[in-house]
Parts: sequence; C-alpha cells; structure tokens
Amino acid sequence: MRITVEAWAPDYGGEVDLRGPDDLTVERPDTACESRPWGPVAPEAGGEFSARPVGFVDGTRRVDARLFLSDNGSAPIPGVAGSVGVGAVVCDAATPGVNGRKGPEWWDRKTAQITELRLIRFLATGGGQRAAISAGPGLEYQSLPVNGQSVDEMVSAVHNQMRAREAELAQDLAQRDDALVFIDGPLAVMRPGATTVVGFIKAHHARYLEDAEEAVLGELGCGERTPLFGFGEPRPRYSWYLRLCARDAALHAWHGLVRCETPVQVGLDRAVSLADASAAILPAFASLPHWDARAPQNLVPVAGLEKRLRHLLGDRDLVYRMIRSAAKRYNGEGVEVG
Amino acid sequence: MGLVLGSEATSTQEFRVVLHEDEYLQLDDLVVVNTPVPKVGAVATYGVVTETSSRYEGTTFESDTFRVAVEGTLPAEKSRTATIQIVRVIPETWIAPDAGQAVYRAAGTEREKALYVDEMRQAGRDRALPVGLTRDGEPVWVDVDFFDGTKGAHMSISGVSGVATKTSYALFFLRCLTSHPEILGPSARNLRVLVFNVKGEDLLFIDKPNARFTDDDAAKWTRLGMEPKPFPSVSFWGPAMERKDSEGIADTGARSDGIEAFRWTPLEFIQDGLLQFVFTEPTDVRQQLTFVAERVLSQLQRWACEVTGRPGCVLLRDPVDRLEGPVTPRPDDHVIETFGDFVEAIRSKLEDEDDFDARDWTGRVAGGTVAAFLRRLYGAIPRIGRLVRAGETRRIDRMKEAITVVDIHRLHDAAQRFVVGALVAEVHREKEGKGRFPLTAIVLDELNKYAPREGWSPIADTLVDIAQRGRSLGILLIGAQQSASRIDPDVLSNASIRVAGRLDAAEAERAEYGWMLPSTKARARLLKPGTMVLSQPSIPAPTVLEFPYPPWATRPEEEATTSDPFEGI
Repeated sequence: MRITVEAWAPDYGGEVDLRGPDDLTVERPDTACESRPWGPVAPEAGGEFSARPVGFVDGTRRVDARLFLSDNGSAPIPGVAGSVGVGAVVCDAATPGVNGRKGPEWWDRKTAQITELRLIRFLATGGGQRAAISAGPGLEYQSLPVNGQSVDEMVSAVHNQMRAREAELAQDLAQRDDALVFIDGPLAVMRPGATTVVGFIKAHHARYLEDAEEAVLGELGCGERTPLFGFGEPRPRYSWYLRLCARDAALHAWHGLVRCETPVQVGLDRAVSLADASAAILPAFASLPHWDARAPQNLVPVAGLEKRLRHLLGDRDLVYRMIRSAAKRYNGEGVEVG
Repeated sequence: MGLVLGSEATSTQEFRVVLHEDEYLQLDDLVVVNTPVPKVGAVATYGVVTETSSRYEGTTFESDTFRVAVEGTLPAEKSRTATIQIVRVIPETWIAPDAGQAVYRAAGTEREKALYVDEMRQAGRDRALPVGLTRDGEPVWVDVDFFDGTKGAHMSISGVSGVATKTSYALFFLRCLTSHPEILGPSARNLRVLVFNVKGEDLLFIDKPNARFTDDDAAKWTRLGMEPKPFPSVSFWGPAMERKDSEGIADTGARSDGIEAFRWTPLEFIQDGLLQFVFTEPTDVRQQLTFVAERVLSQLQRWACEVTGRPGCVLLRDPVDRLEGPVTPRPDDHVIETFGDFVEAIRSKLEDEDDFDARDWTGRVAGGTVAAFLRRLYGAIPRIGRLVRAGETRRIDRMKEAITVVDIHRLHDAAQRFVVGALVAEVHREKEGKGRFPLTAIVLDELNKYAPREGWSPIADTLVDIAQRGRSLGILLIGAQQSASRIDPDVLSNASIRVAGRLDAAEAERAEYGWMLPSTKARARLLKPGTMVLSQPSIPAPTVLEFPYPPWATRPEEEATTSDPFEGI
C-alpha cells in the first residue's frame, strides 16, 4: 500500500474523484475499435495536424445574484442572474513533442492569441416565467425560462448555455481557421460538419474501462495514449486517455492523465489522427505545479483564457449592487404604473 | 497618444498614460490632458514624460514571458505606459486628471503653454529666449528675466569633464543671447562678455567657421531662429611671451594670428592692487599672508612713483621726500621693470632690520610670517613673473569687441588664479556704483578653483559678491564646474539658471542637485555630449534639451579654410 498526496490544490476537488459504483459506466466500451493490441501508443511526430494552428475553447460562468419573482403575494419563483463568458485562444502550429513549442532556437517565436471573447448574461427564472433585467451598461440579463423550481436547475440551465456556446465557438473555430480545437470539458451536442473538435476532460469522475484494461493507464508515459475506445448512447464517441507529463513516482499512477473524446461521426481514421495529434501536441501546453493549482491538466492557454474571462465578467460586488438597484428601480416603476 | 491610466489613482503630481498601440511617447515628451471639472469647466493638465514602461498584462510569473513571447502557449496582452510628471494646470484648479481621459501630445501653442512660454511673453514683452531643442527638434526657452538681472541672474553648469560639454553649452548660450537682441531688449546693448579659456584651446577659434558643420546642423540653428555663424565680434588675448625680445607676442599654441598679448606693467600692478591675487591659496589666509599683502600693497601705493621716460616702470620713494608726478631716478634707485625687481624691492623694505620703516610695511606680524611672505613672493616669480613687465600698456581691452576670450590654459595654476582674480576684480570695480547697463557676462570654467566650498581667497570673495549683488551690478556669472558640491554655496544658490550635463552617479545624489527629479538624476548619468538638463525658476520641472553642433571651430583642424594656403606658390 502506498500513500500519495493529491497533486491539485484542495479547493479544486481532485484529478481522480470517482463517485462510487453508480458512476461505473454500465455500457461495455468497444476497446477493439482501433484494432490494435491494447497497450500504450506513442504517436510518431508529424501527422496531418502538425502544421495547423491549435485552438482552445473554454467558458466560465458565475451566479451574480439569486432573485425571486412574485406577483401579488403569490409564492416567490426563484431565478438566477448568471453571467457566461466563452472564448478561444489560437496558438501557432508548432513541432509536436513536449518541447515542440520551444522551437529549434530558443527565440523562435510562436504566438497565442485570444481570438474570441463572448459575454452573455442570463436571468434564468423558474416555472417557465420570462423576465429580463438591465442593471446598467453591459449588464443586460436576457430571459432564460426554466421549467423547474429549484435553484440548482436554474444554475444548470445557465451552465448548459455555456456548454452550448462553447461547442458553437469550437465548431466555428475548427471550420474557419482549419484548426485542431480542444474544448474544455466533455463534448456537448455538436452540429455535424466540424471534424477536428476534441473534448478535453481534466478530472476523472467515471471509469470506462475494465480493470485489466485500466491497468495500462499507469503505464502511459508522457505524450503516450491508450488505443481508442468507443462508447456512449445516444451520442456515441471515441475516447482515449493520454498523459501530459512524465510519470512521478511520488504521485499516484493516474497523475497527469486526461481523457479526450470526439464524436464517432468524424470517422475512425480522423479519430485516430486526432488522438495521435493530441498526445503529441498537448504535453507542450501542460502547466507546471507551481504555476497552476490544477497542473498539469489545466493547460496554459486555457488558464490564461480563463483568467481573462473571469476578469471580463466584472467585479462581483459591483455587479451584485447594480442588480439590487436595478431591481429596486424596476419595482418602483411598477408601482408608478400600477 | 492614449488614455490616463485608470487602474491606479492619478494625483496632482503624477499620472500614467496607457498608450494606444499605434502611438508612442518618449522621455521628455510634453503631453496635455483636458479634464472636465464640474463648476469649473475644462482644466488642461500639462506634463512631461519621466518614464515609460511595458509589460504583459495578467502574467504573474517571470517565465510567463517565454510562454507568451516564444512558446505561444499563454495569451497575454502587451501594455505600454508612460509616467507623466505634471508641470502646469490651466486654469489653476489643482485637480488630478480624470482616469480614462484622452492624452494628447502637446504641440504648437499647447507645447508653449506646457513650457510656460506664454507667461514669458506676457504684457507685450517677449522674454522667451530659445536655448536648445528637445529630442523631437522643438525649441526650449529660458526666461531671460532670470538671467539678465531683472528677476534673477547667473547660470551654473555642472557635469563630468569631457563628456558634459559644459563650455560648449556656455558658448552656445552666449550665442543665443547675442543673436536675439529683440528678446534681450536693453540688456543686449553693449553687452560685453569675458570668457576664460581654461583648458585646451577650444575657445580660440570661435570666430572661425567649422568645416564639419553640416546642413542638418544648420537646420537646427534655423529652428532656434538663429543664423548659424561663428561669433562675429571676438578679441583673443594670450599671456605675453616671457622673453623681453618677444614683446607683444602671445604665448599660445595653435592660434597665432588675431591674438593679442596681455600683461600688466608694474605701475598697473600697483594701481590695480594686483598683489593680493598672488596670494590666493586657502592656506595663505591662515598664515596671515593676505594680511601682510594688503599692508605691503597700501605701502606700495603710497611709495610708488612713475619714472620719467620709462613707461610702466616704477620706483619706490618715500612719499615725504617727493612731489606728485613722475620722478627721475637717482643712481641708487632700483627701477622696477619686472616682477623680479618688485620682489627684490619689497624684500629690501621688509628685511631692512635697522630701518624702523619695516614695521610700516609688515604690521606687527611675526618674523616667520614675513619670511613666509617673501618665500611665496620668490616662488611666484617663475609662475606669475611673465605677466608683469614694464613697457607700453598691454592690458586686456574688454571694450574692443563684444566677446573677450582670455587664454590662460598654458599658465601655471597660480598664474591662472592671478589673471582671473585681476580681471574679475577689474570688472567688479568698473561696475560698482554704475548701474546695471551695459551688462557684462563672465564665463569661467573650473569655478571650484576660484570659489571653492572651503576657505577664503580674494577671488572667492569677489565672486561671492558678484553672485550676491551681480543682479544689481549688471555682472552675470556663467560658472562651470565638475561638481556643484565643491562650489561655495553662496555662489551656487544665487544662480537662477542651473544646467547639468552628464553627472557622476555619486555626485548626482548630492543635495546640490535637488532641483532634478529622481528620474532625471538617474538619467544624468547617461546623458550624451550635447544633451543637458536645464532648470529655471519659471518652470517647476527640469527640461532636458539638446543643443546643436556649433558653426564655429573648436580646434584648429575644424577650422574651415576659405582660401588655398598654397595659392601663388
């Protein structure tokens, strides 16, 4: 028996946080889809994506205020004013490999640029009610009717909006820039068309493989991946694990692992080359433990993007105050009219 | 240019500008911000750039620079900012500029306002004298009221030898003064300048055109409203050759034509009381030598009489025994023709043990002091002796031309002090009680030799008096020195206009340079030749300026030859 300490900072949950046997996917994944022996795959450098830009899409959301709608003394209907920011970073193509982005000469310049920043604010309200509120310039909350009544449902409605917009942005980016796009989190419903979007899952909440197959995860070296495995109805996906950093004897065997996925619709060949490219390219973007609390899985461009997105959401206290005074104004006007 | 930075508080002294990506600001640039103030209206804030900086926003680790600039993994925006020191607010409502206000480069009249030129031109009097250019090629002005004695006087120039271009700037400033009679007004009339050439021969060619002067340089002069020409009216004086048969030939190096020899006759030596300038070392006061010198001088003035038929000579005769006017020498009289004769004559009076007269000559000082006095006099013969010889008068005629350059670089230190002391005292005596006009300016390099911080000497005494009362006397001192900290504080504190070239790092930290901003001090170590920092009472912040290459030669090889020297051979 060995004891190792979680590599992520305690505030962020864990790299591996399996939520009991219920989460074990009942469906048996198809581990033979790539028709190669089950074992670590070390993709060779190159491949069709080595000369294409790499995009990263991420979103952030925040509950700005919780509100209630009520009418003439009726039971209050809960609502959530939430802000969603999604954005994209596009990085120049570079040689695959851990040190690929450092270039043959140390001063070889690559760039990473935030090419998109989208900010939307929602007022999610229960019971299918519609309500919008403007709390000031740049603080227009648009109506988002939700059928449920619980705050959790409102929050997840806002969250789903974020996911949908992330997916939208990722597909735009993949088509427009012909880029290999990584989207933070599991893939949401995708439009058909874009075939270069990869979902990038930082933490492991579920087990997809049998014990014997899972054993290979501990054997993956830096930049190596598992063969593809297929699963998931009604949205069938190809998925693979890869390791972002060198194995560390002081940490548990799953440290530095991420799971990636892409829709089955892209076809097996494309899925294989996406898997190879991701294993070859991503380690160069991995963060370092002193740099990020969720290293190495929180990739550097994503961390930079996230920082900017949170900044864009605005000062939390100020926004909260603006919403309060907007509500007061709204009600005042209501009285006058009545 | 950009916007007033709002992520940190602005103040009434300083603010920062975040620059637009297409614009830039460099040090010393002048900017203006208009801030709408309730109940007051628009308030214009003028400032000067004292620092610029750039960084990647949002990066926290130093290695992030590689992630952003080379690896291209971290997205970050580059921000460039400039720090502005506020120099003026119009109308005078002292408020900090509003965050987010647009910042403009001050140009044209706005620039003049930033430099207080509108105040220098009030009430129909244009007192703004252009004295240099900023880095962007625009003029910088000085308020002449603070130089010509109207509100202040004197200029002090400091800087490391060789690279600070102190003398060059002093000359350039003189050229500005003499080129703009319309700005100087009554001060320009009959302005006389006395320049001492202390080091090298740089000042002996200022009437000759410079062969290395280019059209670009000329354009800068035109920008300042001046014709790029050498000084038109200059007389040059060098010490007379030592040998009697070289009478009238100046002892200088490269320049031989158009330079006149100067010396004093024994008669002038006594009449002008030049003996005191033989005793100018700080130790002389402590040893009471200056006291003896005064005593001897007043005796000399009583005893000396002219000699019939021998101009400039004197002989000593008891005033009781003679009438007014020249005398004919008796066989036993020692006619004083040279400094050596003088020393002999004085010795015979002082060492005349039997003669009770000796006490009149020495006062009641100890015998040792008298001996020391004589030792010093003998010691002075080889150093100062050449400057005193009988014959036709060869005094320096300062009225001959507007600028009088006196070359003393080949003289011994003691002789340099003697000449400077004699001439400065002469100017001082002339101007005493005569009102300010016409003005006389004195340019003196290595001022620390003549008015040092410690000790007393007759020259320092005169210079301090000029510094204190020069405004009313009409004597303007342009002093230059390596370090202001080694100058008599009275001389320094009376200089209204202060200029510094490159400064030694330790020197720049001294209190004497308190008029500089911290950023200017840091830069003063790096100033290149031709760049100076100027402070004047009219502008609350120092101005960094450049002055153009001179159209006059500063060494013989620069002299533009107008004709072929081999013509006709």
